[in-house]
Amino acid sequence: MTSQPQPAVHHAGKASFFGWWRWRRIEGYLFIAPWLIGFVAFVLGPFLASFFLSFADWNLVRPPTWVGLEHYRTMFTNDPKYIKSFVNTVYFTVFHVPLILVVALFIALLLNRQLPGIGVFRTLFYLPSVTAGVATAILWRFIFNYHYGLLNQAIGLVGIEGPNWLGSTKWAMPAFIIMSTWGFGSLMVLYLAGLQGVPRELYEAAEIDGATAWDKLLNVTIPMMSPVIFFTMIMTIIGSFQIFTAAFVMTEGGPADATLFYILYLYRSAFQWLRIGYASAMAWILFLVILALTLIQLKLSRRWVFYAGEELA
Amino acid sequence: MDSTTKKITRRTFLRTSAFAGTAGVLAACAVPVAAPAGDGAAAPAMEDVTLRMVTHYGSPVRREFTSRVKDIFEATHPGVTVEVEVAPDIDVRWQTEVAAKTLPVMLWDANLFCEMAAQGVFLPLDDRLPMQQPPVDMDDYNVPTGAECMVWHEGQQIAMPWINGAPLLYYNVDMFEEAGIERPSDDWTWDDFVDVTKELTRDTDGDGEIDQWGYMQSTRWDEHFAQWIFANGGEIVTEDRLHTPLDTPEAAGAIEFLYDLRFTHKVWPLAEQMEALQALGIGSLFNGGRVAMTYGGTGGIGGFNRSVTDFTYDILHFPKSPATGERALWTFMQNFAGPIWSEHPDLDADLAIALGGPSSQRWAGRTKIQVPIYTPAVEEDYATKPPENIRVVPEMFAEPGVQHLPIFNGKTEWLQTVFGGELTKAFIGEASLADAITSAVAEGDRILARQ
Repeated sequence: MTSQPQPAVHHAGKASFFGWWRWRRIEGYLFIAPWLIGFVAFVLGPFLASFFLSFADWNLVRPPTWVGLEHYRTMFTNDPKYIKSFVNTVYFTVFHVPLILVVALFIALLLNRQLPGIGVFRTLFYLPSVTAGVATAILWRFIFNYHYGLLNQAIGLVGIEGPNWLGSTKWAMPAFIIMSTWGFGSLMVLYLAGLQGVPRELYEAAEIDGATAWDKLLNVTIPMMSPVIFFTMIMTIIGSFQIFTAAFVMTEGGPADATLFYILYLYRSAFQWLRIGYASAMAWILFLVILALTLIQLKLSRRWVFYAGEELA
Repeated sequence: MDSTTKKITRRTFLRTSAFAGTAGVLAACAVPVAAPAGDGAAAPAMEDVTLRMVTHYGSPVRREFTSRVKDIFEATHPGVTVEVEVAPDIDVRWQTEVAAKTLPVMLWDANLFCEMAAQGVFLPLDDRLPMQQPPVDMDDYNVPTGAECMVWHEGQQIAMPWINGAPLLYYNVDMFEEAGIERPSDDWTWDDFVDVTKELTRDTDGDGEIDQWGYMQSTRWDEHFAQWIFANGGEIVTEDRLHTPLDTPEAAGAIEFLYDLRFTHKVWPLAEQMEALQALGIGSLFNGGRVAMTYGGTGGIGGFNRSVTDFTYDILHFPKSPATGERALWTFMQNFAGPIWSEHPDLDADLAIALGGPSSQRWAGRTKIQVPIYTPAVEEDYATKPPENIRVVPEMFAEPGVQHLPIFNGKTEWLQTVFGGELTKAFIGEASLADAITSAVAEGDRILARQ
């Protein structure tokens, strides 16, 4: 009978054990060192720097000058455009998030069946979400053209005169909400995966109890999907607060600041007007707002998010 | 297993890979250190040097300009290579280059240059000027009033002036002739202007829709309003740079004149009309033969000479204000400057001087990419046909009261907010003119108060 050679085990005393243990720790840090260096240099460092810059006036040319809470005071008391950008972003979020979640779930429900060629449809619905942001924005600028755009041409066929979507302060934001919905593909994929995970026996049990399709949706599908819906809701809210590319390409914040989003105003303040300190303060306010919203959602999730094995609160 | 054979365990392999990876990352971040003196290697007789130059204009004629200067400079400076980069996004990138101290020789506009000059960012040129061949005499350079900070700082010359841009009124000669309208005289007035534009605004194909307009211009920048406001006796910012006086009768009167062109006389296409035509592929309504007159700049002449082939164009003096009986001229200057931290200060200084030197000025004049600042180049090279009435440009500059657009800290935010933001609301029909002027003044003053 042969025996496998055993790895050497260091039990030669306490000193040797701690030496071995320290070496294992160093080894671990060395493994993660490349990532850690990048994280400190490109994430943590700028993160902390922006915090201190938010209390300073700096235009990249002059040395930073300490101004304390001046930027934060200005934002809320002496900058109408800041308030406008915040309100615009909230307006967009309030309508965009529910709409895209509902559309994505609806399409996922439609595509959650085993039919020949269903993969083609899943691919087609997913494709818009992987299109480059700038290309999408340029495409939609044409679609929303007042005289010759596809959208107004289409609704003109049923006798409706379309508005000047991107040239009207009233319709510019609805245009962005419509446009942003077409990127539902990535949410749809998550929902499809979630739907695959709903146990079939729950549906069978519901059918035995005489549940209709609507009953099954409300009482089986959505509760079982609630963790996925919760996750997508948080991520979509975070993303919608940071909308930038479409506004930068399509309207540059116009007409008349109707689509002046928060990040677009932050970008202008930092890179066009060289108000680095003010832009840093804006970034920190956004961070705190998103953090607060996320924490509130986490707290509220106990009421409606159902994890398998738990009872609903 | 043979005890003399060492088996490489997985842990050993991973440990070695981790060390190698970390060492590679640290090596990539290492700063190269110059070899110490006396290491035995013979120094080359002439060290090869690469200079960088950036411009944000990429039109064919401007590329030709920079290419020409590059070739001549390299021919006269053996061992020197000039890398030219056309970067339309340099307005966003230059801050990073300043912070990293990699800023190259660059073409500058007024809005940021003077503030940076005050921080000592630019390379003095005085020592190199006398050494140029041919010699450079700065007395031949017509630096406009108000733009001195773009050339000198604390007695030192820190940039080489390049061009004086100014607004111009272009018109479609064929449209005028078809309408039976004679070329307006040099002394025409704002009222004459309205009459002419009304006659030229028409439905040419009989479908009941206006498809030819008398005039158009942008409302995005201060320069688009300044021409009219200055002519009417108004100002766009006070001398102390603390107030935006667009609500004075003179300034508001000029703005109202423009507003009426669009909404009362309807000789200037609405924003959605312009957008619709652009959606049809008519990029420039003037070049596309849809607009009889357009506000442009002196830098457009070279381009129009090349691109306008379907009709004859020419240029006009701006009409005179009824309030003052005068017209005004503002200019904006561009210059070339190198950074104070240059590794090759003499060469970078020579390059900046070459870019704005007499030879370059004459070439710019001949091609009409802009109005040279070098006076002999304006008189002998620029003032040549086409267009037929090119004399308008030197006449404009010869009139009294030519001033540079105001230069002050924070101007970019101010002009984008006041003109491109608040005033434009009225011109796209989203606010009344009175409200737009009021908010433009309020926002402008708020921004100025911070400087």
